[in-house]
Amino acid sequence: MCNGRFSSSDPDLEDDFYPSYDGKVFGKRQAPRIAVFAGMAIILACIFINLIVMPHFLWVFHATGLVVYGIISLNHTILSKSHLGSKIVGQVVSLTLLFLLMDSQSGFLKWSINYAVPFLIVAGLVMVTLSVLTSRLKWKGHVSLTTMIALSFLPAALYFSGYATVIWPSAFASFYAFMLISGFGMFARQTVWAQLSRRLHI
Amino acid sequence: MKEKVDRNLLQEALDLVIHRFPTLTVSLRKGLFWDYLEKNDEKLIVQKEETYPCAPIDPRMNSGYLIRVIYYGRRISFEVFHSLTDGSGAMEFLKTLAYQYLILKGNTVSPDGLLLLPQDAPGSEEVEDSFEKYAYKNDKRNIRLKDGAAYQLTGSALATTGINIIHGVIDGSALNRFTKESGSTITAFLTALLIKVIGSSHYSAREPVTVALPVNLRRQFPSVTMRNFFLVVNVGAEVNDETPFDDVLEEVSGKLKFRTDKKNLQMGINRHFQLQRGMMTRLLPIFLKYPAMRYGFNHIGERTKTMTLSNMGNVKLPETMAHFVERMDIALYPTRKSPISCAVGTVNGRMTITFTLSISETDIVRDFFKELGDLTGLDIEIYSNEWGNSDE
Repeated sequence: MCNGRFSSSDPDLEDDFYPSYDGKVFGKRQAPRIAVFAGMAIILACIFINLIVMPHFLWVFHATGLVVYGIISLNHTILSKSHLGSKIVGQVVSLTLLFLLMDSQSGFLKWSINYAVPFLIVAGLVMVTLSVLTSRLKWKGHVSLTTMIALSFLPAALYFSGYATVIWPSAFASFYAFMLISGFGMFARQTVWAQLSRRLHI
Repeated sequence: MKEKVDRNLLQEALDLVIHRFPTLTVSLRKGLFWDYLEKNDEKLIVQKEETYPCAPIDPRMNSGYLIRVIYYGRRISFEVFHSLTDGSGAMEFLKTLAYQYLILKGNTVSPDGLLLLPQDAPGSEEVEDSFEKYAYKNDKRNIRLKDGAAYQLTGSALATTGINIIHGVIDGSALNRFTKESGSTITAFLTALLIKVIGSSHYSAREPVTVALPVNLRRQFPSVTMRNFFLVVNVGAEVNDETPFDDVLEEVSGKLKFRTDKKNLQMGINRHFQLQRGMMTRLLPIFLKYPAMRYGFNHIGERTKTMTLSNMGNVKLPETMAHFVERMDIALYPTRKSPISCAVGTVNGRMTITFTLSISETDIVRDFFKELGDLTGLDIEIYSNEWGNSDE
């Protein structure tokens, strides 16, 4: 109360009423902010160098895509305490955008929408399915699974709209999603309704 | 306690008693209209105290629980998210935990009907919503005792986010006799003293100094619920350096008696029930409810009080258990607009008055204990966690 110590305190002496706080750090974690700041600095530097050195070839889009993907991976996938399902969805979405960007910037040979994206989505769907099966089905698991199932129809939509030209990877992704919906409806119906009624009660 | 706490035995005791309290063994889940509580079967691990009391509970680091059992030296602490229970519920849990711990230590203690036994099944009345039980469902009048703005305490925020705790231990039985002789109660006396101290040396605005007092409704509305069952009443007075303490005490005693009258508390219960069950409240999605509640908390609840004083009263322990317990204290978290809080707990005749501060200025606490000692002639033992000294 006099802004001074009442008595000397020895951190090893547990007869004190409270632990010693000397030398302990209670600050907030800075790594995510530093990553965002560093990423923005790298992107700005790339824009600057690209426009000055070789403005005829805008490689800055490749660099920006990679840096943004790196920030998302570090902050959301590695450092964040988010649900595993949302990390998988985050990786699938960000990698899909990265592949589309790289493909479009290198002549749009359609390797991204024909092969990379469908298989990436199937891989994500398998991982979410495994995470849901191995741990108790929670709300965030439902959200991740539903998002992944919705994404699984993206390759088929791209094929029927004429953007993608190879059918079997898109068909495989859609087939997997259909099978999952069927299994989900048959085996997890009761759990789903119980969860929904809890989430939506007024 | 009177002996150093054994971590392993405390964990064993916790494992045995935790399922006796189903309202506490829950996790918070997100809903569209309401967040809700779901049973949690994970093991709750006791933690050695390393940070400040009332530090935020991160459910992800705590097996999803919103409660925490901590030990340090001779002290066992129980920290709880206020949505789960109030002071009375928390005290019941702590009593049962301490009882089981003492048994595991090989002591002979008997409950004497003063605590919940770990082996008993929780009764339905322990999980009931007593507000719903006692509310007059058809009383749609939103009668509210209008509280004006109160004087707000300000100060320099602690350099390191945390809480400075200052305890004052006093002879509770002697203080009780002293207040009885002056025709008052301990709560009214301490409230009046706080108002007088703040009003005398820190008062430059026109607003009254108002103390918010949580009232345990179980005393007037019989209930054994472990869920929240309390109301907050505000008691304020306009004082200055020249106002005699006896005048403040008389005004505070009168207001406290009126506000805690059963009729007024019944109106409070009805209002609480109507607010919770109103169609507008129910249909508002949770992402709109939170800002509305935050606004109500900061601009209605917090604006009308200078600080909070919670008196838990005399906690009765079984005779065979009492001599293992030295004293108890209660810590309330301070808020941004109310940076000093005070809580009082008494066991075995020893009263601990605990101030929690999120600001570095301690003059109110110093003046309070000085005045308390001068008025009553009683000795006060002071100790603190000395949070804030590390900032220097």
